[in-house]
Amino acid sequence: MATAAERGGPFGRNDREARNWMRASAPGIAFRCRPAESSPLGSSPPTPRARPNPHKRWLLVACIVLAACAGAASLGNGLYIYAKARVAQVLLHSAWIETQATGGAIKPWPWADTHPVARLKAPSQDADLLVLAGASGRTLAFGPGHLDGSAAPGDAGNAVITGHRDTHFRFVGRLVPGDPLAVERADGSQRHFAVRRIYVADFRELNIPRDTRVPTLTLVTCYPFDAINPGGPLRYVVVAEAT
Amino acid sequence: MPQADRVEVNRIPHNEWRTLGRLALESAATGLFVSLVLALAVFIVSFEAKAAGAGDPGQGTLLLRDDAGARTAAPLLLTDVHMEVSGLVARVQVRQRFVNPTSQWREGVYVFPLPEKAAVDHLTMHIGERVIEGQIKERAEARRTYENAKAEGRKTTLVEQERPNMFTTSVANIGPNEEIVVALEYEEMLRYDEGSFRLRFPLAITPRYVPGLPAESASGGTGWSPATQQVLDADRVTPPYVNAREGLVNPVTIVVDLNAGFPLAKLASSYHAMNIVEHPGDRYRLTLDGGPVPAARDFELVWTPDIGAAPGAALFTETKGDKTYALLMALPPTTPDTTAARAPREITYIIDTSGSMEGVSITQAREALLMALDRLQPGDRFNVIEFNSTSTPLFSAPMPLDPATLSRAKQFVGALRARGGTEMLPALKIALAGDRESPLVRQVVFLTDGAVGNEDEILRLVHDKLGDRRLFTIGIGPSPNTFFLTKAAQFGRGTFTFIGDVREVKEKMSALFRKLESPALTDIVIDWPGGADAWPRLVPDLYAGEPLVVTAQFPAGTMQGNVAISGKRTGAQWQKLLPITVGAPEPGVAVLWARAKIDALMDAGRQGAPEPDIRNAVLDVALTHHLVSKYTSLIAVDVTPTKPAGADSVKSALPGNVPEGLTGFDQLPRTATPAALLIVIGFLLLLAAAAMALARRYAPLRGI
Repeated sequence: MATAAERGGPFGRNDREARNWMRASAPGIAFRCRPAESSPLGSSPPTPRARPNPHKRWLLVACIVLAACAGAASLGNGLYIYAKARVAQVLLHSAWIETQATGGAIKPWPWADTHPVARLKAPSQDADLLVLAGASGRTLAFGPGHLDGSAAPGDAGNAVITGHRDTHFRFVGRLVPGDPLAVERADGSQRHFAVRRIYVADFRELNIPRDTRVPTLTLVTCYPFDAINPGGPLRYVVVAEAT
Repeated sequence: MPQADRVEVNRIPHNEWRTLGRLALESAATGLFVSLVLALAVFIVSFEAKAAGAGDPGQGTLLLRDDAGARTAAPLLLTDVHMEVSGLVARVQVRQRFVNPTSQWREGVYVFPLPEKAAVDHLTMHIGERVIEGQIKERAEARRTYENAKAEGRKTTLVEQERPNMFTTSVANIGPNEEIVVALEYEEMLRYDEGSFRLRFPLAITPRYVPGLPAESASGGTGWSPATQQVLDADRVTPPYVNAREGLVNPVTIVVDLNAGFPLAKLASSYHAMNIVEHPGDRYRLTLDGGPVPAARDFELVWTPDIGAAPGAALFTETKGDKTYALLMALPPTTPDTTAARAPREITYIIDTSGSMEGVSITQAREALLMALDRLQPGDRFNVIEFNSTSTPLFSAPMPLDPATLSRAKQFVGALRARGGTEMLPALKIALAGDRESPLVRQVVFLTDGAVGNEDEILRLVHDKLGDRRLFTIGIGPSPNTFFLTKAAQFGRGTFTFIGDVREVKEKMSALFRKLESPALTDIVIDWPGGADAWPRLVPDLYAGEPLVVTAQFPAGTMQGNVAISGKRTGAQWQKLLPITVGAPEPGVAVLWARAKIDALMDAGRQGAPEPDIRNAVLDVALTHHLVSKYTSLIAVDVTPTKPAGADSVKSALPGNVPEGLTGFDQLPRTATPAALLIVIGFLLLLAAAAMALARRYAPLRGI
């Protein structure tokens, strides 16, 4: 980035001297403490406060540019998360069709480290999502993740599916006991579930049973749903059993 | 910004209020910007701190829900293990320090693992300087004594056996900010195999799978699983565990004093870094390098005698009261018949793909199985059965080995993932189905962590359905259920192998192949002189590198003459005559004999002997020898009450760690994105930038 002097700012006519002065001053204090006798500007200012401080000005420009860039990046990143969550589900759809046709684990895009394992529907909430293998942070960006080690969705046992409360699993907060859920598996078969229990627990105390007699779906997401901090300890747990 | 503009701006005449406004705007914007940057930095740093804290053994306060549902601080548990190894025997002291960091009274319940052959015979409770000796009592009576003492406000400690390798310590009336030390001691015979001694100390319990429908009754446990019809004490064998991301709990120190008795070629700790100091006379002191470790994976020490220094046979005796006890170890010579044609065989591999195997375990199991498949030879028949909640055999029946079946099997194994329950019975039923007898050599190789609660039910099936097959178990993972694995191999007349790390797969599997492929010593008969009461009665078949270990009891003064050992190997008879004499007393032999007898009695029970008979026989031995068993517990009670009559006491179940590297247990990911936060920060930053730009625009520049 050019200094204010280089861009023809207030130092325009005297820039070599100005830069020398900058070099001579200790880094870090140059902008705050300016000795009057070493001023590159010949005239003496009326008061230090009102006097335009060229270094302060330079800092201001830097701050504006930095804040604008950081702000844009942050905003963009935030929006990108939402966009990724939506677009990925569209890409996953074609991978799912192929999965059902071939029976293999089809990667939705060449560099993916996961694949769709089931399709989860909540008719009462208009939710229709493709569930991915593995519940890592990377996976969850694209869709709800099936926890490795838990039963396959629709199988006997407890299938644990986690999702982001502010993207795919936003609907989970609106489920009420009795709501139907459905799982479509890679072999095309469907299994129907009904929500039985809903509770909130601290994840440190959450011992989700690994196995249950009745095929069970356990949907887990963060709680509270509208918190701004993504790192809270509470989890919202919806337990649905096969009907 | 175009320069012309700026020149315009620079011409704006000075105005005092504008200067003030600019300053206010500028400082507000800068303040906002700086605070945002700082907030962001704090946010990131606190995130990293959380992540970094996950690996340390937690010493802080642990918050748990009590019976009433309130969050309370639980007692902390610190363990110090001191092992003294001498010759073939280890004497181990386990000191469990229960620390109550709160200002209330507490009762602590801690379920912990011990070696499956541990003969727990001593308990002391330390309250400050005072030491209270524990007494052995019938289990229900000990429990009553404990409950009464607890109600009276007296400090008391109860040690119960849930499984031969799982015990519960309950400590009542731990005062505010008080520490009670429970010191347990046990005696154990070392495992000698393939020329090396192995001393194992389990440090974690892989959460057990509990099959069956919920039962009406409960057995007073503090575990996470309700009792089921298949596992009536499920609530006692499923201790709570902490999420690894919360940081690890239960720090442990380990000190080993090893008096090997012969020069060593090798001495190494398998999974923990140790500091080794050598003393004269083949003595060593080992301590953990780098201080306490969290109780999250089994400890194992391995040492190998120098060539020629290895014992071929050894006899230890101890006289106690009017009885003399003997411990005999003999190593049959290994046959050099490696040139003998390897008979074609039928091998069925069973691999556990349940959720508890997720993580390091399934990787180890897959590697081991792929190695085993490569070892098959033309003429062999084989099958692979995968099981979790359901069992899936690769072929409907064992298939002859050919390139096509082998490649199908490898593909099948390579694609295995771990998830779901551990329904072991159906898988074993498939593997043990069919004729009891077969002209082929039939072997079943079972890879699992053994994390089930219905061990006895499975052992019974193995006993009933084995026929002429042999079952070999391979224990997988950081903390497998060694009791189940060794017992299943014993009932299956095979042998067991532990693989605790993926780096061990090659070495351990090679050792197993030697056992699978060289003929075993069978039909072993031990003929003791006089009125010996020897245990085990039925000596298991011995595979390559395994020694014969038996104990016997004699009426004092009658132990003399020779013991005759005989066995068969591929039809040929093997015989050995060893003179027995009462030598230098070796403390602990009596306890080991008693433990071997209890073990054999319990086995008889598992094979269908009526429980009341077994119980009486076990009670007799256990009470005489001061041993904890399924039917006897150790109890220590303080004399005077210390808890005021009115004070409440809260019961806490102390959690353990999920064994290191297992990821199938509630490792829930973060389930919220930072999107909203990023958008808010983005907006604020843009706002700040706009404010600063505005400030700059109206800045009066009078210096030019």
